[in-house]
Amino acid sequence: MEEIRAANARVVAICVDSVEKNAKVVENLDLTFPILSDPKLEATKAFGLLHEGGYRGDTPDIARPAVFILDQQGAVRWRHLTDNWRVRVRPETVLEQLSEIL
Amino acid sequence: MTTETVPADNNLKRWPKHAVWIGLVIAAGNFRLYYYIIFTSPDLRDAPWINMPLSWLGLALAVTGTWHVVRQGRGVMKKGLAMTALLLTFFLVGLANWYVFSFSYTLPESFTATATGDVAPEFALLDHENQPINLSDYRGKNVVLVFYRGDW
Repeated sequence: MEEIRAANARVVAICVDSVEKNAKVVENLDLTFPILSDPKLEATKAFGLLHEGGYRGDTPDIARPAVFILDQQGAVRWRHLTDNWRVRVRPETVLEQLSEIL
Repeated sequence: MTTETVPADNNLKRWPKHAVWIGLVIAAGNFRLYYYIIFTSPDLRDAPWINMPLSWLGLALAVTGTWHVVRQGRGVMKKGLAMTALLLTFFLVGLANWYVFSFSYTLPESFTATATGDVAPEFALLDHENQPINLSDYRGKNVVLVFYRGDW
């Protein structure tokens, strides 16, 4: 995380879970970045990531997993849309991309 | 002295009988192991080719074990138990492999997603401490935005 901050970047996570559930996740995993709650799928749809019937827990529609790197003006400089949701982006990959952008 | 026609070698008779249960245990263990692996090893999680063969081994053992039990004319109850174990193994292995090789690929098309070069859409959402956060709050900083499926 220090490396991310050193790259003048912040991590922000979004999912459809409620604020309470996100608070638990932050606590359980000791996260130092915020998780935003998008229960109405506003941000999910705005970014074109709607996964209808993806069904996770109590919400039938969720976001498909994606990572975007935005620059300081808010433009997308890199994105990763996994085609297999078991596969997550590695932190090293993100740091690599961040250093290439800066 | 019995007059059953069973293979002369007693040891060979015993091993295949237990193969079914060993197979089931391996399949169940593989299931459990998978969930352990995804938390501890990103490499194995990305490529389950090391873990899944274990499940196939379990299935192979269960199949051969059941085959031997049936062929050697063991009692009906033993056959029934073996069949049940085989079914269970089949179910576990099938589920695990389906999940890894098929189900986790089911995602919608990606062309709808915001592309590189686009300006990211604005949003205003609540964070986990109930504070409103706008994406524009982050102007002047680079942002790693992570959308995920939600917690288990």
